[in-house]
Amino acid sequence: MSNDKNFAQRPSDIRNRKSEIAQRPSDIRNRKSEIRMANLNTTLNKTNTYDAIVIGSGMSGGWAAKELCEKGLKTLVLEKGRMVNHLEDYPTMNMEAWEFENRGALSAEDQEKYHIQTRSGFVGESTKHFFTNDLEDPYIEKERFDWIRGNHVGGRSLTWGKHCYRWSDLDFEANTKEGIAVDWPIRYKDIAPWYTYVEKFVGISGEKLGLDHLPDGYFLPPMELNCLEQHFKKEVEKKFRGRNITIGRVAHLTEPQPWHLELGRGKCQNRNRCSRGCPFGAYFSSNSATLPAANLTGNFAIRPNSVVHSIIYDEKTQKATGVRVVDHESKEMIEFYAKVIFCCASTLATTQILLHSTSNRFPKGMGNDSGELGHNLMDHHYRTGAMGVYEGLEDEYYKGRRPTGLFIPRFTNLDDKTKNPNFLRGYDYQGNGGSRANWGRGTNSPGVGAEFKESLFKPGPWNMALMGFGECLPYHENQASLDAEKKDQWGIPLLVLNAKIRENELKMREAMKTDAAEMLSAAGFKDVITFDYAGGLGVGVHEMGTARMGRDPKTSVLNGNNQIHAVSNVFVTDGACMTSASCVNPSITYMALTARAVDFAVSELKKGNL
Amino acid sequence: MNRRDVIISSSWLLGYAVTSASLSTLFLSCQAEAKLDWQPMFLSKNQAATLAEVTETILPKTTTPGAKELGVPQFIDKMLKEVLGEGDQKAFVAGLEQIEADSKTQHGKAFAECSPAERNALLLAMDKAAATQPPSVWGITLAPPQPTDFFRNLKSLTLFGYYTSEEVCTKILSYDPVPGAYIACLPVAEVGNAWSE
Repeated sequence: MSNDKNFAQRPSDIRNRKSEIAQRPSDIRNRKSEIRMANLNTTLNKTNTYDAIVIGSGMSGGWAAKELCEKGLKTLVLEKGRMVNHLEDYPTMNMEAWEFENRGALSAEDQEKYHIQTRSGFVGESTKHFFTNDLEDPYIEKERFDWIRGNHVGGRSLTWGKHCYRWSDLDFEANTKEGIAVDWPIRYKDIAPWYTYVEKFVGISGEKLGLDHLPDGYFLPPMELNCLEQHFKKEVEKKFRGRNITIGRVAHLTEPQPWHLELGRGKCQNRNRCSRGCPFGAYFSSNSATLPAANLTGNFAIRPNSVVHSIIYDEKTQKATGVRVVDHESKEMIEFYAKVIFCCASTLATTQILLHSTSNRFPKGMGNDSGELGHNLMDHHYRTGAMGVYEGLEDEYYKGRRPTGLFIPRFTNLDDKTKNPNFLRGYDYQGNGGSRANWGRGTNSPGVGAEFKESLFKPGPWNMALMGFGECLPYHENQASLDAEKKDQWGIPLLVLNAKIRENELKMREAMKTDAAEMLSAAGFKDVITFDYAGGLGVGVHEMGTARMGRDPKTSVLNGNNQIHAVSNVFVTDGACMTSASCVNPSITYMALTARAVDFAVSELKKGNL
Repeated sequence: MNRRDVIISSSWLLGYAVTSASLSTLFLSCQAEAKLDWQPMFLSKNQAATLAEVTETILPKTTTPGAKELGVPQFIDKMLKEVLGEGDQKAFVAGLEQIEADSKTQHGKAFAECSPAERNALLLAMDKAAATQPPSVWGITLAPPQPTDFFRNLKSLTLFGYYTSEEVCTKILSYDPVPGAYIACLPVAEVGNAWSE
């Protein structure tokens, strides 16, 4: 850290430093072998019997595996897709633009193969291998639904946005106060210690703000706001009481702690090529953190290419006894057995598995006494906000590609004073913040010739975009179900998605646009324009809610410990468990709920209750 | 700056309907073939020759390399074959033919034979007339998919091929593959040209 501070004070050294740095990619390749952890154990036992089975290896599954293994349970992780070992399976992590076949663009053939995944805007030649082939793995859209998937070891933890924000009781109490859906069976105090627990292991950089509705956590040093962002912060905080500008709270190691270094994880180098996999293990993923930690215990095994068919239910004991899988390649059906099962396949895949796990006791799907399984599908609606150009600060620039932008916490409908009568709940903003335009500006600005060419070598004007992220309400009508006839290549009924944003969200979007434009204008931005192109539900890649937690088995699928009300040894801790959506990124909440549920499950197991 | 790292913010990367139909037969020309020191994989030799002169007019050689020297025409020819959908391919080839037709009508000669001023004027007129690309953030286009105007596509591909080349990224722009520390505020003079990425 001290070196970096020195460096920051001596910008004139940059030229020298740059030439040094240019040597580095080869160093990284050498370094890779030194810090490589043992590959994940894929050797299974002979009886196919474990203490615990975890379905899925993404954000939630990785945490379930780590916690179960560390508590001494022999644990098998079943992953639908292929193996991705940290570092060695990140083929593009050190590639430069000109080293790609199409400079990073998807070939026409790949555009077809990823025809739904590309709706996210995040699939390119450098990242396509971490997205699901839509042709091989179809689903049915009754309404457009952008299901962005990562079926491989690590799941979407490889490509996530990395923003981590705690929920508060503003979120946990919203349903019951407003008479929407059902009440959460937990409150902030129930999850707060688990947030701290997972934040320490994950490593989250961020600034403490002391806000009740966006609680502070265990943070590594925050990343810095650049010149324009600092100006924007000053102006907005002066002119709008109650609006805070801060840097994104993100899962990047700005100051690795001993437990991070032990896993071979290092400090963020500001490359912003995260979604290809990080050669430094600087951002949190299952692959860089939870799965290696689980692997180190000796209690861990993972079976990739395992498409879960259903969870096996025993009518006599009224418990699950194991999991049926279809091998992704051979299509052979295999059964694995365990005392406790964590279903962490991601919201919609989990829903598909539970709906397909039928028995005499559960003809409509495992744990579906309430009939709510598959309903209340939510996401965050985004892609609305405003952007503008800033005239000034021409002599200022920055160094490094900081992998996050500014963040504006929710400021609407917090209390009576901030009430907007047009809609319930609220929104926050992530900023594509304050950068100077690059050569790409030449595409839309008129000009050809020598002067035009030379001008694009120079940094362009400063600009900023504020992207709103809004809460979606849990509507019973927003539903995932199984098709009665059509099946995929593994014999599993296709998922049918029938969900959309509705009036509350549409009204909220008007405010999201207006407020963003107002803040940019107030801070002196010119040419401010608003944008609003929602796409389909799902494009926020925060789908959740289809097996909700609740207090009453008649109206919910899971109890306050993420346990299926009527099947005590099956737990669901991915986004399916969510009773409402808040407007903040959900991963850290899934992680905290997972660690909490494992703690409960293992104590119940020890008591002989499972 | 990102929710996820930026891919590339050009609408033609986002994908339209794709078919495998080949277009080459539609544009068979009976004119004499232009001389070209490379073999195009998608365009005819005449079309490729026009493309080469057009890209060089947009980004001419000065003290720094021009588009031709850095293989931009070859790059675009490859992108036409590998990346663009059928609609964009057709529009692109038709656009190149239109440049030649305009050149004949206005100046009575092929584009390659026009003076630099005549070439500039021809392309600037097209640049002004072409619709701009919709706004994008994090590489996400914030408008429904729509066909991109030929000239906007051409210009976007030309700049993309040139400014992401190894030569420009490492020798002209400021190249910093592994930045290490992030410096939030710093005089431009300390950096020089824009960062390559």
